Amino acid sequence: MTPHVGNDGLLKYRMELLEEKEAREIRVHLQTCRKCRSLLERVEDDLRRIKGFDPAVEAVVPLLPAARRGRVQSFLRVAAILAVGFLLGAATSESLRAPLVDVVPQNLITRPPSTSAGQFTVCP
Amino acid sequence: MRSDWEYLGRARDGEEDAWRLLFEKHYVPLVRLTALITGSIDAAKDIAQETFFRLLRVRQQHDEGNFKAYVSTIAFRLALKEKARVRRAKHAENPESPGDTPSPLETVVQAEEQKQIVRVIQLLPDHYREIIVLRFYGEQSYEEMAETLAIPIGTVKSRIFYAVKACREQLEKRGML
Repeated sequence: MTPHVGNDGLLKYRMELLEEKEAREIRVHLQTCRKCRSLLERVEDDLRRIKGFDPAVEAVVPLLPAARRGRVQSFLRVAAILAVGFLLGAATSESLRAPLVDVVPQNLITRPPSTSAGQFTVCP
Repeated sequence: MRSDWEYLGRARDGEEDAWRLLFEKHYVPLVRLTALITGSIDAAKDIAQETFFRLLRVRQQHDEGNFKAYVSTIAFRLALKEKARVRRAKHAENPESPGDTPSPLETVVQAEEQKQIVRVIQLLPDHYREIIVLRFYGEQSYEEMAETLAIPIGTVKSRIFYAVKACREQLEKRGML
């Protein structure tokens, strides 16, 4: 029979901190050693205690942030607002548009542009 | 069966049911984890909730791996920040004090055994407490802990061993073993 494992060895074994070869040796030893099996149970109890902090807390689920809720609906809402705005804008600009002015060519006075500075008079 | 990653994706798309399911599954374990780091159940509740909101905002999209380890890492980092903030505030108020005060956590657990567990974990040095919390309350693997703490895996293994050993010794001193 192999020598007893001891507390530290069993702790490492249970926490899977050993190389496979060492772990196998302990596994074999445990099959035949009641004392080490009992020590191992104590190690396991201790580990259960260490992870045993469990305060009475209730999970009160907060609302999903508004930005996430109904993103598709939000998108559609924005699209609808933009579409309505565009249509209103188009209708308004149509009704407020100034009447067109007919330009009759014969009423226009055309004069060739001045080409030299001498044509200007100097104010006294 | 849908994975938590999938539920997260659906929650990001605005599905309330997916959001509720994720929250109900992970909230309490996150409160336990962060309470042991901060020493305050109220701070832990806030941090656990903030963790979920951060999950929604994270730009990098994961869809595989250990979801619990992922959320516990976010919560763990937030808890460390909160602890540092409280320490700084206490130090500013009273520079003579060491910064640590008896934990109000003990007041929120009823069973004597739980009080002792809290006391023992709270009395551990920071690096032992953090590794115990990540392993037993964040259910992280040694590889994940090495990544979270940015230390080699060999250090993780030796640290977790000595941390658990220290816990057992304290529990034994208190007549719990």
